[in-house]
Amino acid sequence: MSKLRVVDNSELGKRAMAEGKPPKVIHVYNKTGIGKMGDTVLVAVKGEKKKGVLVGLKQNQKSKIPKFDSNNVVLLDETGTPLGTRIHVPIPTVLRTILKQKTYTKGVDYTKILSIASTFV
Amino acid sequence: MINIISKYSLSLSTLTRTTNASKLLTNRTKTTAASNIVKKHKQDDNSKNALAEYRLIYPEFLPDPRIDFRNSVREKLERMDMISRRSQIDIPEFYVGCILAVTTSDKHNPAKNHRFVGICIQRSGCGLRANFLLRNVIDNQGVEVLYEMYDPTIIRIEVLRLEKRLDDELLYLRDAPQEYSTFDPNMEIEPHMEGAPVPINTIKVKLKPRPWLERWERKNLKGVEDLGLPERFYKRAGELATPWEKYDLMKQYMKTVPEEEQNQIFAEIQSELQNIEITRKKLKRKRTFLKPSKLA
Repeated sequence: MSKLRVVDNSELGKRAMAEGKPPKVIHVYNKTGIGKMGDTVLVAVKGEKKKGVLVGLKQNQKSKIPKFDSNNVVLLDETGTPLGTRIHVPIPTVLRTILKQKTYTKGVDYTKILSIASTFV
Repeated sequence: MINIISKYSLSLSTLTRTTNASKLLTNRTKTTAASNIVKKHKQDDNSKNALAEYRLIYPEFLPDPRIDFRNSVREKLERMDMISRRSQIDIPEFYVGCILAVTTSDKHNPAKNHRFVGICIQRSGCGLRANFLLRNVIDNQGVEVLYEMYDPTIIRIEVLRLEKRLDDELLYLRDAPQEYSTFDPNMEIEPHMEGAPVPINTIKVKLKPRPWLERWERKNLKGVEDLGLPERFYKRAGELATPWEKYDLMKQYMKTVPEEEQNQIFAEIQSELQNIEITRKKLKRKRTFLKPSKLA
């Protein structure tokens, strides 16, 4: 179970990171089971199950896509809106395309993550 | 046990003998080659030096030395493509340890060009696949971006600080504190005299305590402070080291492109490279002209 780093300013995420109990991935919502950029994951954080979106990976990436020093996640609530109001690390610009493609009418609006991002790399 | 030791010592002694012999051989070949060169080509010594420098400035023009990858026609076509790309944009001379700024057009955000500043920690690939890895820390988050040198979406490559480091790869910056790889994205270009030697930054990086991404004590790093590990780590590193490989002539030969071939390659493209350099210098002179702020 990979440990992630919560990069938004949600109360739950901040507390989990401050206590040194980062969220762990317990399921990846895709067909391979391997979390890639922009994938939705189910995480266990402080005794709760929460959904989140991967917004930065340690894994080697293709050219021009940034590779980060930690695996970053943004937590979502049940309706798919981000728990926090700000993301305090840079976000890869590929997510603009990936999250737009994931969003469809009557589904979850993932582009809300883009609007709370502070910097893009 | 004793048997093994005696065998080992025997093999060692034979090894040293062979290395000595090989040394002698190389020395002899070197001296004969040198004398031949002195006799034959005293007049075009300068042009030869220039060709030797191209090896360092344009390493991606040299093909991959692996025999099963060689294809002379493909290499030639690739070189032509690289020259034609270089006539379109200025790909400057840079080394591992330089601070670069790369501006690309971003298809995910077509309204804006994207600029990334970072230290070059690795250069790899040859021909059109040549690439470099930039690293920076943005908002306390380490970020690395790999760029292909001949990528058509690259608009501009600027060298903000031209310098070399003590190592060929700076991947250990991933295990170093963040201040070693933090660079201001609004940094200005530090002036470097044309033709002056590239300065070497002899900074020694202090790594964070273990766990690390790699076993750095086995990599024979020069730009790292004392790692402060227990004795057993260095002992194991000593066991796994292969100090005799530098005497393995065949291995060296298979790993490198022969000098004659290098000279042939660079002689082929020398005139084009010089033309590109001249146009670059002209552009640079235009750019560096500044209006005097005070009138006398």
